[in-house]
Amino acid sequence: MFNEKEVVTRIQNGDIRAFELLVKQYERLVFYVTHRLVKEREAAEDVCQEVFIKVHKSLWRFNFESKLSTWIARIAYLTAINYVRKYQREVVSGYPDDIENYHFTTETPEELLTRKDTANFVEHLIAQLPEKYRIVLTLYHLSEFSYAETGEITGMPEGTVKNYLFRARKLLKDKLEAYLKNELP
Amino acid sequence: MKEMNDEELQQWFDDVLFASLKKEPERGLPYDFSARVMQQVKADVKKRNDLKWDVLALFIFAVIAAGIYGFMLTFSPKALPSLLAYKWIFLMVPFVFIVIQAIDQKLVKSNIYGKFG
Repeated sequence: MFNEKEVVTRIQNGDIRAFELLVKQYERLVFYVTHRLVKEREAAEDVCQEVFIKVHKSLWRFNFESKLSTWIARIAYLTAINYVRKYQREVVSGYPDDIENYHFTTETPEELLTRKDTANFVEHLIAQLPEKYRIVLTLYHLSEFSYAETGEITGMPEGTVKNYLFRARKLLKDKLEAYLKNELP
Repeated sequence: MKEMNDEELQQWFDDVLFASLKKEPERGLPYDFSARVMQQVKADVKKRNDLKWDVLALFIFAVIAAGIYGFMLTFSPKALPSLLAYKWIFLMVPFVFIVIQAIDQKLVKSNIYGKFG
């Protein structure tokens, strides 16, 4: 059983083996956060490594005011965003206000292939969403953070998180509904 | 098979969507990921410790140099000008030391950290 307080205290006292326990405990969370933002797989791995280096350097400042997972997820989110801004040149703040009219590329050969599997189809749609929508969906549904925690990680107000989640899910549901209705006999 | 009404159908779409959103990525991090991170962290810790020792060494050098200067000034002021004639040689020692350390750090950093260094 991973004892957050004990492990952090050991690391703060210079126990480097305890840090390995922390890496193994949170590597999946960090990967979930980064893989939705950083598209290339190798780059996502590099970002994950960078996240843990930052965690190790900054852990002496961690004072248990928030959950360790929330704190690490925030570092992962900010590191991934910085990477995207620096290397992928994606417009991270330019998400559309009229998300309901968001245009998905739904007729490419790649998309037609991925339609064979519903989860892959949803993943394919999520990958096309603006970054803010992708991250709230990931944090809330995949990493199972609460609205408040998702807001803490991304720096968004709780109401904005709820709004983004609602709009993103509605958009995905509409597309999924259209797709499944076509697929069902 | 029983026909679903609209409410049941909507619920079914929700269930399918939520299940898809919870699906983990097919490929995760490599098995040796934590080992790679630990290698970097250990190198980072070593670098920081080396820096502490470097600073300490420079401090000790400065204290010794100041001590020698103070001693000469107090007990042998006539010999002081001849000692000061060699001051650049004495000052070269910490300078060379800093340059060697900086080159070493730069090489280690570029080898280990790659583009994130």
